[in-house]
Amino acid sequence: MQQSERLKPVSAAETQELVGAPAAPGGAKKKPLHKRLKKEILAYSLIGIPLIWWCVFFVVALVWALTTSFTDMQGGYGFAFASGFTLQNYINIFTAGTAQAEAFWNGMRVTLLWTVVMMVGNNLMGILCAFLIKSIRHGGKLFLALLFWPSLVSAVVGADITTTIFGSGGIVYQMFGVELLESEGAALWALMVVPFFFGFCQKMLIYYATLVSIPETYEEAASLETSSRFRIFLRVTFPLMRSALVLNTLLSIIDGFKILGPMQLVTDGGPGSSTQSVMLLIYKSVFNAPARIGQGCAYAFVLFIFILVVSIVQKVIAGKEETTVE
Amino acid sequence: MSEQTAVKRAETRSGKRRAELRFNVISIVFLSVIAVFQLMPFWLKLIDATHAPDFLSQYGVIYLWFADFTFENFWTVIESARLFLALGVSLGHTVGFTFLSLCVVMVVGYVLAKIKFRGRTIVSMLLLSTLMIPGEVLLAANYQITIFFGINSNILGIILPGIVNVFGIFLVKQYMESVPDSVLEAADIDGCNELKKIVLIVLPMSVPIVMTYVIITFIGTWNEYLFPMVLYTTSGSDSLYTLQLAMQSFYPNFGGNADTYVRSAGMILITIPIIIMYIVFQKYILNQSNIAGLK
Repeated sequence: MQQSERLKPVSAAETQELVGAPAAPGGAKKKPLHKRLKKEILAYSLIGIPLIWWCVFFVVALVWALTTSFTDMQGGYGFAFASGFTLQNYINIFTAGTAQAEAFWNGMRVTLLWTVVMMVGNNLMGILCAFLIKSIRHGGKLFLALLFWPSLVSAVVGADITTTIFGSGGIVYQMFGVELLESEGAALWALMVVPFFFGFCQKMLIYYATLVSIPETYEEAASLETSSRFRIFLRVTFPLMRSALVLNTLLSIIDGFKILGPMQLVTDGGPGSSTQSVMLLIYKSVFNAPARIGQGCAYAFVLFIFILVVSIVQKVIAGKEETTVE
Repeated sequence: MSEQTAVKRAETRSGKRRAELRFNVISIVFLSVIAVFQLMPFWLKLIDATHAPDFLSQYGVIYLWFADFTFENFWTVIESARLFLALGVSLGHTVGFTFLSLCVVMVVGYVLAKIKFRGRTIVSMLLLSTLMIPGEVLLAANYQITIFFGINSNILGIILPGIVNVFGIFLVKQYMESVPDSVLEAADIDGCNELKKIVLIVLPMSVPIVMTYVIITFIGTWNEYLFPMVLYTTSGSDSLYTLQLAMQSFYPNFGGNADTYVRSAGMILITIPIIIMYIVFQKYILNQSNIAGLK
C-alpha cells in the first residue's frame, strides 16, 4: 500500500486539476514549475490513491444512487440512467394513496418514534448514570466499565437476546403469557428495550468524559450556597455540558434515522409493517424480490434530505457554540 | 464561640455526612440494578448454552443457575455452523480492514495536518462531506461497485469499500497537529522522506490516538454484518461468511430445546473476543476524551 503510493507518478497537470486552478503566487515566477509546486506534488502523490479510492466508493456511489433514483431500474446490475429519465419514484412518495407513499410514511413514523424515544431516553439515562458514577465516592471506575461494555456487543447478538426475551416462547411469554413481538402495537416498543439498555452507555461515556473535565472549583463554589447535589447539577454543571449534549443529540438523530439492525434481524418489519423502518424499506426494495432499485434509491435520498434538514435545524437551535473540525 | 453553635455545627456536619452516605448508597444501588439488567441476558444465554441437548427446560421456569451442565453445545455449534472457517474469515476481514485503513488514515491524516499545500481546504471539505451522508444510503451503490470490480464473492469485497475512513482521518489529523514542526524539520535535514517520517516519527508520537482508532475499528469491523450479508448472501458465497453472518444465518434443527442451546452457545462464542478486547484495552476504550473533542 505505502510502496505503491510512493511509486505513483503524479504530473503537475494532474495536480493542478485537483487543486482546481493553476497556482500563480506572485514573486515565485522565476522558479520552475515543479519547484513551485513541490509541496503540492508531494501531498497529492501521498493522498492521490486514497482520494481516488474515496471518489470510487463515495462520489461514484453517490452519483450512481442519485441517477438511479430517477430511473425505474427494477433489479440486476449496471448503470441504468440510459434507460430513461423519470420522476415517478419521487412522485410516488409524495402522492397520497400510493403503496409507495404508504410504505414510506409508515416507515418514517416508525423511524421517528424510534429516534425520539432513543434520543430522549438514552441521553437522560446517559446523563444520570454519568452523574452518579462521577459523584459516588467509591467504585466509579468499576461501574463505568461494567455499564459500558454492552455497547460493544454486536447487533446479531443483541437481536438474539431480544428474541430470547420477547420472542415466541421467550421469557416474557413464559412469565406473563404475552408475545409482544407478535402484537402490532407493542412490537416496536419490545424491539427498543435491548438497544436502549445496550446503547445508552456510549452517550454515558461522552457525558462522563465531559463531567470529569469540568473543574471541581465550580461545584465547590456552588456547594457553599446550597447543599442539594441535584440543584448544583442542574444550575451549574449541566449548562457546562452543553457541547456534549449537542454532540450526543446529533449522534442519536443520525443513528436513529438509519436504524435497521433490530428490525431486520428480529421481526423483518412485522407484524404487518408495524416495525418497518425507512432503512428496512430501502433495504427490502433494493435487495428483496421483487426488487425496485430505482424506487429504493429515491426513498434513500428523501431520507437523506430529512437527516440533513433535522441536523441543520438541530445545529441552529443548539446555537453556534459548537466548534467544527476545521 | 458559644457551645450551642459548636453543637449545631457538629450536627449539620453529621447530617451532611449522613446525606452523603444516603446519596452514595442510593446511587450504588441504582447503578447496580442497571448493571444487573445488562448482565442478565448474557448470564441467561450462558446458562442456556450449557444445558445438555436432551435437557427439557420446564415451561415458565427461568433457569438462573446451571442445570445439567455440559460443554457439548459449544462443540456442536462450532462444527455445524462452521465457526472455525468463519473465524478465519472474520480475522482476515478485521485485521485486513484495520491495517489497510490505518495506513490510509495515517498517511492522509499526516498530509492534511502537516503539509501546507494548495487545495488542502477543498480536500478536507470534500472528505468531511462524507460524514453527512449515512453509509447505509450508499449500500446498494457500493454493492454494485463491488460487482463491477468483480470482488463481490471475495473477501476483498468487504474489506476494500470502506478503507478511506473519513472519521478516522480527522480523528488522527487533529491529534497529529500537536506534533511539533521542529521535529519534522529536523527529520527533513536528516534526509527522511515523508513515509519514513510517518512511520518513524509521527506514528510513535501518536500512539494513544492510533490505539484508540485501531480498537474502535477492530470492534466495529468484528461486529459488522450488514454489508457482508448483502454481498455474500446475494452472491451465494457461504464459505466466506463472517462469524456474525454465520451465526445469524444459522438455524439448527436438532429438535427439542437443543436448537436454542446450540444457538446460545454460538452467540456466547462470538461475543468472547470482544470481551477479551475490552478487558485488555479498557484504558483506551473508556478514555474517549479524544473522540468527544472531535465534533
